Amino acid sequence: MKKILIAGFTAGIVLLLISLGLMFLVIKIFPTLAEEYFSPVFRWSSVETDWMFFVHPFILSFSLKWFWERYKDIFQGSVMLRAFEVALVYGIVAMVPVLWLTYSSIDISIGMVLTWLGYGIIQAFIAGLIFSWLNP
Amino acid sequence: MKWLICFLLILLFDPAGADKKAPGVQAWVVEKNSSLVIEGSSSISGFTCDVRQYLNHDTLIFFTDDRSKRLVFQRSALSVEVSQFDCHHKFITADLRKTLKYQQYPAMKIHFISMEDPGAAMQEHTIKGVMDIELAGVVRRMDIIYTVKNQAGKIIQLSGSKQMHFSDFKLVPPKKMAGIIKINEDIKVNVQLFFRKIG
Repeated sequence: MKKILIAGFTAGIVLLLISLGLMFLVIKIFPTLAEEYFSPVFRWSSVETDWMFFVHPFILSFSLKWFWERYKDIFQGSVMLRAFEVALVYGIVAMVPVLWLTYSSIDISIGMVLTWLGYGIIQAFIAGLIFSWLNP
Repeated sequence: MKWLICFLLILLFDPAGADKKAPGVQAWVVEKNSSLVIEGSSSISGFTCDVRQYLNHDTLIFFTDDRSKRLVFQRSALSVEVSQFDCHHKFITADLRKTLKYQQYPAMKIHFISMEDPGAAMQEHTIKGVMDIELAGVVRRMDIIYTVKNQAGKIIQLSGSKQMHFSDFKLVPPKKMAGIIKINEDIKVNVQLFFRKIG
């Protein structure tokens, strides 16, 4: 239990820093795409909801931790390869169907959807690296 | 008797006198080519919002104060429809209008209080003016420096700018994504005013 908590929180903190970094990178590299976040489909910042943004990496890390503990024996090979496989599975199984539905219902660009897909895969890869290193 | 009363009433409330201004009172009409531009910035880039066209024919009434030689305005205001603001980006335009509560307060008003006489200033010289800016139901008195561009003939051209903050008018600029994507507090309002002298 202690190992799970340490790994989960470690991954959560790293993912939080990564997510903030990626956000600022998008602003720098794709400013037009970043300006899409002013769209009315996105909530205005408020105390009631802003905390959820900072908590989401921990939701993801513990979800992926459960997945890792359940199915880690399937993933063989080096730390990098195992992390890559986790990212691929998460991207294909969890991200693609949800983002497909999101794009069909919400007025956002395909570019924005693709950044979310990339963001999710990178997060899963980082979490996979930490889990395969801490709890192989 | 009835006719006498009517005659006395006409003498007292002469409708022909309604167009006559009090001695010393002058008027300017704000010309259509006047403009207002708001410069702002977000955490992503800068932006400019301008009023597509100044559609009102507001008249400014004033007299010259003998002691200070300043123009003192009476019930003189410019009214600019917030729905006319265009930031050349549909989301920022919509967010700005929502921030300015345009449905509740459709117009931004600039009430002229007083101004140094532009007629007494040289070309490209600056004059000081005082105005009350009414935005989203909040009124703030501000000093503004105008540059006199043209005071010859019947047309006076003044250009001025003022640095402001959304918080001056108790407004909160748009913020998204836990505040990472946001419009910054500071804005600069630039005005280009063309006045036509009447009479």
